[in-house]
This record gives sequence, structure tokens and C-alpha cells, in this order.
Amino acid sequence: MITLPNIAITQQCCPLYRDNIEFTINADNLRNKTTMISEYTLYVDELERLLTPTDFNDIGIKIIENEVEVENENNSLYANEININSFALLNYSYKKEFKRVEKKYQPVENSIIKTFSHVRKYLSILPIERCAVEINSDNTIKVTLSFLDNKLLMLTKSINDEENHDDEVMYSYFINRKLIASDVANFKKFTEGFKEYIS
Amino acid sequence: MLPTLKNSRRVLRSIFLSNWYRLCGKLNFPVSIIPRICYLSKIDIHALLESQTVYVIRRSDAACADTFNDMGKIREDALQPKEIPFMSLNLLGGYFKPEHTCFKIIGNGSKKWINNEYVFISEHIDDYEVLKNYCIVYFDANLMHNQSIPYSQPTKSKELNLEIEKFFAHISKPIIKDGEHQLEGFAKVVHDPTKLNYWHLEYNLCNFKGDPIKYTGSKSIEKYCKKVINDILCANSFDKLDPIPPIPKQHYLR
Repeated sequence: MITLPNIAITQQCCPLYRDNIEFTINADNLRNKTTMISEYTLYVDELERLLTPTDFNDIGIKIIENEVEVENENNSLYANEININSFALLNYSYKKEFKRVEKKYQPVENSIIKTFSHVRKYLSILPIERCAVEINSDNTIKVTLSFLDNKLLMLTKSINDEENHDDEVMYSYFINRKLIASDVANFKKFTEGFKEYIS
Repeated sequence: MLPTLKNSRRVLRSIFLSNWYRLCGKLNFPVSIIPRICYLSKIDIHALLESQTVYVIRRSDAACADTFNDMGKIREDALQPKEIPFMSLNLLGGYFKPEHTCFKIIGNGSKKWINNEYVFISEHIDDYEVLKNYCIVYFDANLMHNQSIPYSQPTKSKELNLEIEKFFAHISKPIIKDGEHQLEGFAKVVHDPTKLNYWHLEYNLCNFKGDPIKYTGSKSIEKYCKKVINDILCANSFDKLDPIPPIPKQHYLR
């Protein structure tokens, strides 16, 4: 059985901050159990409201008649802990940005959707407080993430990055808005290292 | 006293004309931001920033949704690399207020204020425009000033190679990586009063020697400017600001 903390009902029209909703799922727990959570209807409702069917597919879980089930262990993109709050924050900001770009310029290309999905895969393991996604005209996606204690991380990832076999990301890290480090690193290694640092 | 007497006729004429223009609705420019002869010709920005928190302001002609991201930070796309060297800013805490951002100074009004000359608003009624659609961006000047920025420059240019060798003759040699000199520049905020705005500032990006660089469109300068946008300007920008710390008069009065 998954331990479920108290969940506050969020307002769909405002950004989702940590104060609004706070819960995480440990994917390993899900993998081993098909959990009956009929008594946690609110929890299921909340998940369904926050995430789209594609998101469920990306995480590798599905909800059938109030049951949270790991669809296929191999399909699950997340090796360790999924922070649903971070996932929802990233999604919210991306969808808002997606709409802005579509309204202003043109339909968003598939390569952007693919790149964002890749970015989200790694970043939703981090305990994000707030976030902002930007789709830039120079074919990059920029994600600004804020953490506790005035820590800020900016990541820039190229779209159409087929030649980038090293899966590089440009990062800048700030504490109290002072630049601490700025470099290019392997995305997976960087997020894993950063998670260890920030946790 | 002498310059006042010398200009007395001009002063009286200006008072009459500016009142007349105001009555006719031809003049609505805030005279409070115009340079006065009692002002210092240049504010020592470095000393000011050493002594207190200072905020500066810039107008963005784009819509707010295209200027700020979800966290109230300026979007990377809202600033173009070519805008960064000599970027215009306005100092807050003196007489320049956020609402003055709607006045876009043009023509003679944007020329440098030199030799503590008298400025008569009646002579500049065509030197500004009032904008309706704009957005205000605030920056923390303390974290924009004297920030070092690593950058690289190709070693292809003989002239530049000689200059770098000359400069580093007595200092440790710069590193060359992938055919490029790895150098360190820095950004600084300087006071640049114009005829219609004493509180005007300029943002200078300096090379390894400390000389302000111009935007040439070269890849290395473009990269340098993008680094400044991302690592300094985006991180230190705000869409709104709580009380603005006032600047003590000794920083700008003679």
C-alpha cells in the first residue's frame, strides 16, 4: 500500500506550487504492487486532473477503476522516485508556453514536444519549488527551476539535438542570485548528481 | 551665479514657453528627470553600489507575456545579444520613477549631457515620444556590476594575438583551448546622463583589458552576450519590485 500524505485540492487556473499540492510516488513501490486505493479517490482524482493520458504513459503507470498500476516495468522511464508535484509544475509551465508559442508564432513542432518530454523525464526527479519553461527562437528549451533556500537552476537544452550524442545540457546555478557555476554537462549525470546534492 | 545671470533671459523665456506648451497640452514630459546644474556631471556608480542596494529599470516594447517567464524573470528571447553592449538602463531611487518609462527620448534629447549645461525643456518638446504599450523590467544593479564573465576569442586574428601577448607579457598567459583564447571579461554599469534624462545608465561589457566591446556579430561576441543574458540579466531581473531604496543626495549633488 502506498503511504499517501494529505493532499490539498489545487485550483486549475493558478500555477501549482508546493504549497498547493505535495506528494511523491516511489516508483519502486508501485512496481511491486498493484495497489487498491479505492479509499483514496481524491488521490486518483488529483492525479487524473494533473496528468494527461500521455503523461501516465510516460511515467509508466495507469489508473483503472481507482487502481494505480504499473503498466510495464520496462516502459517506466523513472528508475527511482517520481515527484508528481515537480512533474505537474513542469507540465503546467510547458503547456502555458506551448499555448503562447502557438498563438504568437506557429504550431509547435514535434521535435519540441519530444525534447520537452526528454527534459521532463530527468527534471521531475528534483524537488522543484517553482519552474518556468521557455521555448526560444534559437531552437532551445530553457527551464528555470527554483529550490528551497533561494537556489536557482537554469538549464538550456537544444531542440533537434540528434548530433548531440553526449546528451549535453547547458546549466547555470545560482544561490541568492549569485552565479555559483555555469557549464555544459551530460544531462542524465548532471540531474542525478544535482538530485544527490539538493536532497 | 554668473552662468545664471547669463542665462536669465533664456530661463524666463523657457519658463514662459514651457507653461504655454503645458497649457496647450503639447508638453507632458517630467522635468524632474532633467539634469540640473547642481548635479554632479557623473555619479560614481561603483561607489554607490558599494554602499547600498540599487535597482535599475528598462523598458521592454514586447507584451508582458513575451517579456517574462512564469517565475517573473526576463525571458532569454526578450533580450537580443546585439542589444547588450551599451544597453540603456535607468537608475531608480533618485527622481526617475517607474512611470517615467513611458517616455522614449529621441533626437537631441538623447545626446550626452556635458559640461553641466542648462537644459531647457521648451527646446526639446519634439525630443520624446509617449509610449502606450510597453512593459517594465527591473534589475538588481549590484549583481550586474563588476561581474566577471569567461569568454573565448579565436586565435586566427594576428592583430588580436599580438595584443593578447602584449597584455599578458607580465601576467600569466591565457589558456588556448580548441584554437581559442580563454579570456575573462566583465560587465559594468556606468552613468551616462543625457540632456533629457540625468538618470540614464549604460551597461558596458568589457574585454580582458577592461575596454568596452561593441557588438560585431562575431560568434565569440554573440556567445559572450548570451552568457551575460543568461547568467547575469535573467537571474537578476524582476517583473515587480517592493519599495525602491532611495539614493542619498550626496551621490548626485555637487
